[in-house]
Amino acid sequence: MESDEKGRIDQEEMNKDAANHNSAHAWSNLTGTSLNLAGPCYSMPSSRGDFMGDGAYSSSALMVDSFGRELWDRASDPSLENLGCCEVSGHSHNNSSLSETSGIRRIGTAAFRTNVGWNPRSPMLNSALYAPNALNIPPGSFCLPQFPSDSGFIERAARFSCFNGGNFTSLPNPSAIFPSAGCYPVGPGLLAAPSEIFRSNFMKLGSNLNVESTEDVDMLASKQDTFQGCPQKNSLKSESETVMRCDDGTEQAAGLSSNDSDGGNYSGNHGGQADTSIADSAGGEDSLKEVSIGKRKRSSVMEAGSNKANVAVGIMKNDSEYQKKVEQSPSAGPSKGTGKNNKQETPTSDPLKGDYIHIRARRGQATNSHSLAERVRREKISERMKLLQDLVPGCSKVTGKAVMLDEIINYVQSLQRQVEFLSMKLATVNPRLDGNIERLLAKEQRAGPSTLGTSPEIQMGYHQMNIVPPGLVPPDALGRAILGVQTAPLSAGVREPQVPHSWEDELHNVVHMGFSCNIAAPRGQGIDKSLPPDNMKVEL
Amino acid sequence: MMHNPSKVRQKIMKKWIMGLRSCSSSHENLSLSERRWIIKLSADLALASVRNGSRRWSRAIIEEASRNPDNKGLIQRMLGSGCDYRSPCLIPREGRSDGNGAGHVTKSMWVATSSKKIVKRCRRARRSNGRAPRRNEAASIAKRLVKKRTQLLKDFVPGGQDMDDVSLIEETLDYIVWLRAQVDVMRALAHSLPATTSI
Repeated sequence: MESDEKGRIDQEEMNKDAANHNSAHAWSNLTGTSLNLAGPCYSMPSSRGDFMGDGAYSSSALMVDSFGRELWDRASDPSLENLGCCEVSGHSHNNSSLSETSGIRRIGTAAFRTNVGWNPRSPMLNSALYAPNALNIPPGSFCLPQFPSDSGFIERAARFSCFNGGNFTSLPNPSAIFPSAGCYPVGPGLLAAPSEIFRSNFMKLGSNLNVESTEDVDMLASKQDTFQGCPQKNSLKSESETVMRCDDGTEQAAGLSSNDSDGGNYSGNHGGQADTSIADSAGGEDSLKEVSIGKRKRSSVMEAGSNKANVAVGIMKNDSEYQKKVEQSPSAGPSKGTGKNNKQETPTSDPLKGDYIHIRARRGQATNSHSLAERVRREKISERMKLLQDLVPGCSKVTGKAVMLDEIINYVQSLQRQVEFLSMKLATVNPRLDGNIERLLAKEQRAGPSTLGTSPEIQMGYHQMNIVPPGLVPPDALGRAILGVQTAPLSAGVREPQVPHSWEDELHNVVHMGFSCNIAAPRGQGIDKSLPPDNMKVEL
Repeated sequence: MMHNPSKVRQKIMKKWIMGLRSCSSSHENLSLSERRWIIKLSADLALASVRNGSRRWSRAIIEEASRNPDNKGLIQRMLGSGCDYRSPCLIPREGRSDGNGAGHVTKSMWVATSSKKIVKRCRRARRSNGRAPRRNEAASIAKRLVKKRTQLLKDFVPGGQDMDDVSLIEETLDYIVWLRAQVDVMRALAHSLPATTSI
């Protein structure tokens, strides 16, 4: 049922987009909106260090994640002019709430799909996105082909292309890695270079993006969807495969801990092997594993950041990462590796079969299955929180699980309060509802979406509700003004002029200016002024 | 899931008004608070029924409402036409209910919760074997905060009590979206009706 829904929604989304914009722009709209999602992530490149309370790795994870995604979709859109068009079209979308909620719906399906497995997207979407570009990436180019927006893949691809653009020529085979990897541990100079590339691109791209919740949601949804929809391998992966010397039977130790001192090649091989096998089993696995792999790499990036000797090597590629780990004196003996191997061996040898979760323990972390399960759980949660962040207004700057939860709670509370307030308001309306209701229904059907609120209104309502004094018909000027302002945008959007509320109108003009600054008040103010939960519940 | 938000809202509106209308005959005699209750309840039920019970919160809303015997009539009128909340169409993903009439806790959910408890217990046992607690002090404070807020969130999201964190966040996600739709619908109605107040 949900797959049908998703397919249908895609179709609808396509149709709607095609109807509203050029078909050319329809696709770019999708990808462009997908770009916008990365926006909020960009705005706080390093400020989410304590997200999840698990240390800095997730911040870099998010950073690189969004960065990778951004690169991804940017590259997937060959003409960057479309970016501007996308943003414009996204904003000028007739029905921003429609896109928002449909996007949200897709987020919903996308988010919930991650556990269920792959759900092939509509072929139209896939082919349209993937057809125009050649599958093979020239190693030196920054332009990536369409690719499932897997965070792990994206991140690898980003690094791949980054380094191609930066210092490497090509990485066709692993043996080439070693000598080049050997040059790397030179210290902060080289460390600075790739990370600078990273960061400069990051910020540059971030500045181009527009942060808008609806587009964010759309983008996230579309990305998740495309991610799920394209489990097949593609050239980028095959390139990384070549780097990692696909060798099925040899996946043994060091898959996780990679602390074996058996030889960098070997471990790199296995690490890569596990990666590719993980990537292979797209049918059975979900994005979480990829995320976990990706995050592990990002964590290694962060760890490398703290250890200069590792950095250059660490940032680079998968097997060079493993190499680094190998070169560092391993903390764990081979027993841990084997313990992990056993868990991994079966799935990798038969990648299509099971729902095994391939997780690598980070360096220095226990490989206990409990802690791994715990880590998977944490990553799941963080993923969901990211989605929620796009949904709850004003959460883009928030870091940390507790604060995010706080915001979410406040938002849910405020929505529920609004419902109660509105029901109270309706209860005072003249109880002769029948005629009114008929009239209203007819109006609603004719007016359609324009009558209904859009997200800015909701946000405004959210702000306003926090400072509306309790009471059904606020007698004072403040209350009237607030409500007047609140309804002003709604009535502006209404196609058919509704019967104005006299007591709202009279102060409307006067207070509109005065409250415009209130509306524009930062989110935090709204929160600070939020009344205790019971305040809005007026018991008569 | 919201195929088409405007259509969804129209559906919600229609169901809601249908429910209101079914009570409108007695509207004259009701006090303000009773009217408010009816309005809110019918709005919630409309939301939940349009959502069709494929989410825990929608089922929870219906269950809660049906616990109150006064609401039975309204529930029947509103939901009788569509799927009954107990019917299989309302429990698509998580499997059938475990025989309990409301399908309150599905088997998979129970398994998830219980396995989570087992993991927690093992972790606690392992941790008590001499992990240095001091270096995790900040982390433990953070965890406490998070736990507190998770509990709060569980109180707000209907049906969130028995859920693990991951599903809780998913439910919240979904709930927020649909709650927004409900607010939109109600606001549209409130603004389009004439403001003749009768208290």
